[in-house]
Amino acid sequence: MRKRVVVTGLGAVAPNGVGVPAFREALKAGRSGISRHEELKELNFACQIGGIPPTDEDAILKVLPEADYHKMSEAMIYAVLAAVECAKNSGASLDSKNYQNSPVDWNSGAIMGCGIGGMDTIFQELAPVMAEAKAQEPGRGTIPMGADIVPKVMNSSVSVAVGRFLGLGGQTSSNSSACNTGTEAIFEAWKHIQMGFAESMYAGGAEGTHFGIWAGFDAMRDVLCSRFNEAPEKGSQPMGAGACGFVPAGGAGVLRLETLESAQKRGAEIICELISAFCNSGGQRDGGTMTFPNPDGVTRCIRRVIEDSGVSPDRISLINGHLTSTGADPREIASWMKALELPPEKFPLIQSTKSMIGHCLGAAGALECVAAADQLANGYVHPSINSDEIHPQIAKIGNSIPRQARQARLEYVIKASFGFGDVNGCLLFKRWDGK
Amino acid sequence: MAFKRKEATIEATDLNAITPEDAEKRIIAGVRKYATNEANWSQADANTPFLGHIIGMGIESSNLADITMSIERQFLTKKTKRVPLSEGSSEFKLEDGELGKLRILEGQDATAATPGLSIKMLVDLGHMPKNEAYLSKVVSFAYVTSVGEGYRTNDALKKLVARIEKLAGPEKDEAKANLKALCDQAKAYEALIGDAAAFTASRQKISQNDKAAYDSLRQELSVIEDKIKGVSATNDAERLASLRAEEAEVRTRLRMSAQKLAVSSAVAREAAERTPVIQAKIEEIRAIVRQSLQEAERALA
Repeated sequence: MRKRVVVTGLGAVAPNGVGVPAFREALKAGRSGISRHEELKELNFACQIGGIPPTDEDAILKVLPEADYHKMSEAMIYAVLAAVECAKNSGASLDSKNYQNSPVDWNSGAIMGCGIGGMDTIFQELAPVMAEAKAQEPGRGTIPMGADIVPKVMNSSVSVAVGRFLGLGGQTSSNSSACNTGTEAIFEAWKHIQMGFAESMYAGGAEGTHFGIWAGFDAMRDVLCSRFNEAPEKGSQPMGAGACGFVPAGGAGVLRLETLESAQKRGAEIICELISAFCNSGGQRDGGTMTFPNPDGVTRCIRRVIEDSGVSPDRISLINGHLTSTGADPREIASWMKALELPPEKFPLIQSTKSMIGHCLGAAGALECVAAADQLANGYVHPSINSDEIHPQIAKIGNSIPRQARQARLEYVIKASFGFGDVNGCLLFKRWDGK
Repeated sequence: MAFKRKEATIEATDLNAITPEDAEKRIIAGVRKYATNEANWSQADANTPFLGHIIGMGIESSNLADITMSIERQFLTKKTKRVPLSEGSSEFKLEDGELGKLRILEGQDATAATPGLSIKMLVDLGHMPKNEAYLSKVVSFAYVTSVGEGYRTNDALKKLVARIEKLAGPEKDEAKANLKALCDQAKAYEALIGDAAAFTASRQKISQNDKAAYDSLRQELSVIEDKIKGVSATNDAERLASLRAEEAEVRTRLRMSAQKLAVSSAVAREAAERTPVIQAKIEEIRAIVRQSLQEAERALA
């Protein structure tokens, strides 16, 4: 028999708001966090817009000790900011400026993923030193880069940073599945709790915003949005007629998952319940490639989650899609329709958080799950902006796209993410009714 | 606006045109970015150990190389002329030349464990003039490490006492046995550091052991060098290659042994000298350990 797993904490570092209250306010207001970046212009990127969380060194140092700040990449900093917020609002007692004084929490772990990793460290600290290495004395070629490079660029950097601040004694590890990373992390954490290895897990994803992370996507030309450099807030148009590529972004999202028993024992406030989760791959066959999902894989992933939950699709109130503002959006809608087997008039509301925050890559799924959980808990639906004129191929579900924020008592919210490599993830959240 | 870190501009200063107090301030400020314990950091002074986790700054040992680099970046020196130690050698020493970047060679920072000892290192290496008044307030490396050992022992005692209070049954019995052993260790420490002669003798003994190990390695190297001379005349390339590999390994061990000996010799030399500042530190840690021992005795009762 499955354990009941609930969400007891949320943390968000998003391009349109740092901290869950600011993120919620921005989502309700339909406020975009996308802006133009001169650095991208100077580097002759085709896409010169992006989503960068509105925070700075002074604000960060109010939360983190300075020494830790210098030992972390941008993604690690975002991960820790979101995790500290998540831990605090889940009821954990934590002084993040003096975190080393807190005891180990042997019942909790973390699965925190990252899509690309410490590219900022590689560009700013490692590469310049290596460029000068030949001119150094024997044995001193690498010394000027300092002692903190490895922890800043290793794949597990974001999870161990979170583990360090929260004093986690359970498994602390990083997953990576491109743009599915955040969603997959939550699935992995849920699975970990189901198997009885931990009472609680912090799960999510983080991504930096260095141009080095975005450059490869820009080089692919039709993948990033390059037609809205003069109107950045219009650039991310998931499901919109003018969708021309995704808008790159970064940030972090963290959820605290916990057994219902543990949450009740702690007297924690329960935000919602995660009742079903699954990840799969399309095998890069039958239309699936390194960069496109096999539609059958997507459909199977969504169906598996619904079947496992035993929930009838017509009870799903809201879909928070992957929906990136690319030519793949209509294909994703088709997969949802096929998986849910609902006629257009009964199709649930469908939204894209990316319309406001862009595509946060390894953090995308996690931030979108924070949005999903927050909507369930607080009874609202955020708009999917820039979709006034929808893509002609999805006209039949046009009425399901919320263009304005609305109050709504949601029952089930389903969330899916897809990533390069033809990998998929899907989660089903349920409103918490107190039992 | 992209994610940006504020970059501090470091303007290097001539070590001959700065007081040791100002140099100390610069060293402390430069090291600040590596200190995870900000509360301790705010009280840092000349005698705060970079690595002491109770009285220190919570700096991780991996950052010691960064601290040396931070010091190198902040100061200018006239000792910039590189003179090879022997003809054709890649190893060199630094002699007076044009004012330029400070360079601390491998091993020279081995005992620079506090900001004050970093100043002493710069003085000893001839990068800055000697200031007796300042150096008299600097706790020697021998006592920085020994007093630090006391704080670590005290910390372990306190943690174990606190743990015992929460335990019961066989686990408590086991913890009490561990506490008893730790108390014996703490008492021995308190007695040893309180007895100047015994303490000095113990440090000299360690240094003598290190010297014996070093001499043994030198002898081993000498034997190999003789063998190489002998084989060189026979054209036995395979045997010669084997001996060369052996020689390289022994030279590496010898270099490490020399560094260890340099540190323990310094400790042995310094152990006999207890300035008023050092004596005050010793009495402070002795009182702290005695207090913790009393609490431990109560927990054992």
